Amino acid sequence: MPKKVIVIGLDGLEPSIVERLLSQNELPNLQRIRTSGHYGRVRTTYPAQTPVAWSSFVTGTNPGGHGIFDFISRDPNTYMPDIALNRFERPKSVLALPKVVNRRQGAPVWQHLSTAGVPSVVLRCPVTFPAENLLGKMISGVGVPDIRGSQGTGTFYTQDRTLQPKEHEQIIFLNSDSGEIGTHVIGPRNPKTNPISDFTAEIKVRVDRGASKLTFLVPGNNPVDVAENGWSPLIRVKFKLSMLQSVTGVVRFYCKSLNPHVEFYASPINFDPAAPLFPISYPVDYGKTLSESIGLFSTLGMAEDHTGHNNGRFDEMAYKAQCDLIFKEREAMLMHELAKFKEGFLFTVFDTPDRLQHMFWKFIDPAHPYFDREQAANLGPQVDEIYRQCDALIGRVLEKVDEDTLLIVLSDHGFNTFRRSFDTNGWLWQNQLLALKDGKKPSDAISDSKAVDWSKTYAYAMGLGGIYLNLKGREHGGIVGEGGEADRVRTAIQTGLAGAPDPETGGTAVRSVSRREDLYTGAYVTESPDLLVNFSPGYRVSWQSSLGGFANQIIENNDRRWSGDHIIDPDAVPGILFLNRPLTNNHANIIDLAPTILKSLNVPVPQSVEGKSLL
Amino acid sequence: MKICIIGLDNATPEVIFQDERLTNLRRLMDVGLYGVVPSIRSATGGWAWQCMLASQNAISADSQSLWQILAGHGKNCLLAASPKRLSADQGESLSHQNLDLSREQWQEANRCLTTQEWDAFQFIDFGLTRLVEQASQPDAAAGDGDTEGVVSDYYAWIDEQIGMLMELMDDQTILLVASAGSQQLPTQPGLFLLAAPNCPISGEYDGATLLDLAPTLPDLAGYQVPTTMQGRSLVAGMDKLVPGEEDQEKIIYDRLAGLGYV
Repeated sequence: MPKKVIVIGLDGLEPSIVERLLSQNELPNLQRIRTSGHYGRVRTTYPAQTPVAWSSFVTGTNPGGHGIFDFISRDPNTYMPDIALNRFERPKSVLALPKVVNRRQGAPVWQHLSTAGVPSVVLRCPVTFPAENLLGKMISGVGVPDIRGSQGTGTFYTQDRTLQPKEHEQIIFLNSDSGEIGTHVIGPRNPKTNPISDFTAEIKVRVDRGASKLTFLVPGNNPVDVAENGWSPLIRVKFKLSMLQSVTGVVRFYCKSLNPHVEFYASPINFDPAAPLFPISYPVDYGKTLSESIGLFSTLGMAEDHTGHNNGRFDEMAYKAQCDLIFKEREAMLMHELAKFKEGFLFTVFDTPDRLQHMFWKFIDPAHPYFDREQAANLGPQVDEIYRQCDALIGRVLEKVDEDTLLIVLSDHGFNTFRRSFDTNGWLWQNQLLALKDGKKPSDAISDSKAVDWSKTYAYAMGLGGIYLNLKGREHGGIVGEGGEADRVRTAIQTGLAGAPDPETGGTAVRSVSRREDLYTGAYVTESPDLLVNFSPGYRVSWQSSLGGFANQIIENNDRRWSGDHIIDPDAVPGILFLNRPLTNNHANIIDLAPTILKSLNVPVPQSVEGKSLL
Repeated sequence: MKICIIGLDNATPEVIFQDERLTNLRRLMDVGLYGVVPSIRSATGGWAWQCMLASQNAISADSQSLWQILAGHGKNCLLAASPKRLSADQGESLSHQNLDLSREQWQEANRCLTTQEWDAFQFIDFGLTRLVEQASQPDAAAGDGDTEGVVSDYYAWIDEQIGMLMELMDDQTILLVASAGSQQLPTQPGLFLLAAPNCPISGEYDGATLLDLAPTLPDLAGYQVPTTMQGRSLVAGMDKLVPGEEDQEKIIYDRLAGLGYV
């Protein structure tokens, strides 16, 4: 019986790529595990999303048992979207501190282990913010916001005053481009002012064109040199909130150009691992002690800065360089704990493969509308490269694996291309199931969820594939009666949307539409969307529909750098699963891992766990 | 509005306003009004609190405290205080006894605040007074050696208790944390920290007196300031704030910013 279980989560590793690289002998370490144990595909969740799938992994239940159905939820009172992973409770008064609550329900595997006296180390598992009380240690993962409360808002510095901020970013205009430039870093929001303002920290930037570098002078730090096209290490920055209070965060600068003008970029300000605004570690001081051992590390849930890259503030190779820095931080975290690991459960999630594939997929898909042969030749190989990096990591982990250790390597879902976006709200409007005010058409209301006439709307899309009925008694302006009427609306959507064709390509955009009762069981089913759209590979819900708005056309090309995705029919994007033990059950589902871990550590599997041990 | 007074008997302005470990009190200073108030030298024999609450220089048979006045208006007042002295001849060290007693009292205060209906609440902690008295005892057995350390730790502990209490306050509560000085050291000044959602001013307040605190409370709560009070409300004649709603929609979209998928 193993006394140790190590789980390495490699977010978004796609089976078809893993299998090709295995056959080319390019993943020698994973091959070793396969030879002595098992490799296969693992069924993911409906929908195939990181927070949903990892929550099912840790609880051993379908999403109905843990209540995470999407990155995005909606408020039926306001029809507004919100982040579904955690919620901030507004303080009751000026005196109380705001609190954050994890929205994942159900009991995670480390809770059962803690009860049985078995220790756990959980590093960067999604939907563990705020960090949970357990027998062991935890650093929170996806879901941790930046210091402004967003999922990542960076800042671009330029002298070009014609530039406008792009998606989710801030712009600061520099007053000069030589010598020592005085500027600032934007910190937390200050909600006490009207309108809301920002706390800032003064910095200076010294320009040295001769040496092709910028030197960042941040109070409390030694000067930091950053070469052109290079990233700085993480730098601690202090924001004075008042005469009496201050908060620190960590930031990474990127030097974009020195000629003809100075332009640089500041990453989203992450919580300082040693002094976060909200608990990102358990015990509370674990983040501090870990950072003292391995150096400062990124704490933002989605640490890889795809937004800055999507906005063109740094190119693909700079994005890859930043991904590498984060991968190394994560590896340092894992190795630090692995060196001390004697018993129990050790679990780390590496997000980087997912984040890299989102941005690089068009370089490996010749049918992508924005495929470019030259770029593909240069950048396409980076996708295989991240798989090789993961394999090398596994090689270093294998050095620590002994006969008493069960090693599990898995991804939460696979990956696919994202060529065309499907505007579900536009489709609902076209089919008279959603109405717009003042006779507007979707093209008159792009990204405008406020244009919906709720008194004449039967259903609406929000989130990354969900459709909600505008249900009487549940939605604020609901018009659809429960029972027969609701059933008729759902049937109309299911039959109309399934098989929806793409007139331009002749393909099928939507494979099927599922009813929630056919997908989920458990205490939280009523919190899920009423219907889930299972897109065909190559299609995904439109950027606009995900927030309740509208696109110009129902199906259009995806023109963003974010060119790969996995939120399609889950049958098309299973994950990968390696174990260093042979399996008795070759049809693995992601919910089977929690009972496998418990059984391996000789801890009874509670009835609430739906999966079955694979050993 | 509701009124909550926490008295810290014998607390000194030097520690309360300067010890950086007292993060909850600093948060209170940050959102509210605070300052030093001169002690009332005539108020000997532990009368300083009564003087403060009645807003009168000297207490007479006719003096009415804030609580009597509020109760006269039908307000539900809860009052609590911890004992000023420890009982002698117990095995445990006096600093432990002191903390045990305080813990019990603060838990009780917490329980009252959460389980009972109240319009006005007062709790005075005498833990520091007990420690000061214990240190001045001639017999060595009374002390635990490191009196300074024990007192310093006690301030930090009090700060934690106040932090927990602050979490219980809603947007309709005025909180006053105060010391009326020291009976043992008559020259030691008192202090106050006052926070209310509608308080029109914040920051350090210079020139307040102990007698000004009681009239400020009914003024902020929207009651008539009793004419028997000799002090003057610190916010007299000022327009009270109407707490504004934050831009919820902006906050929500800010939270989704950078998600990538949207």
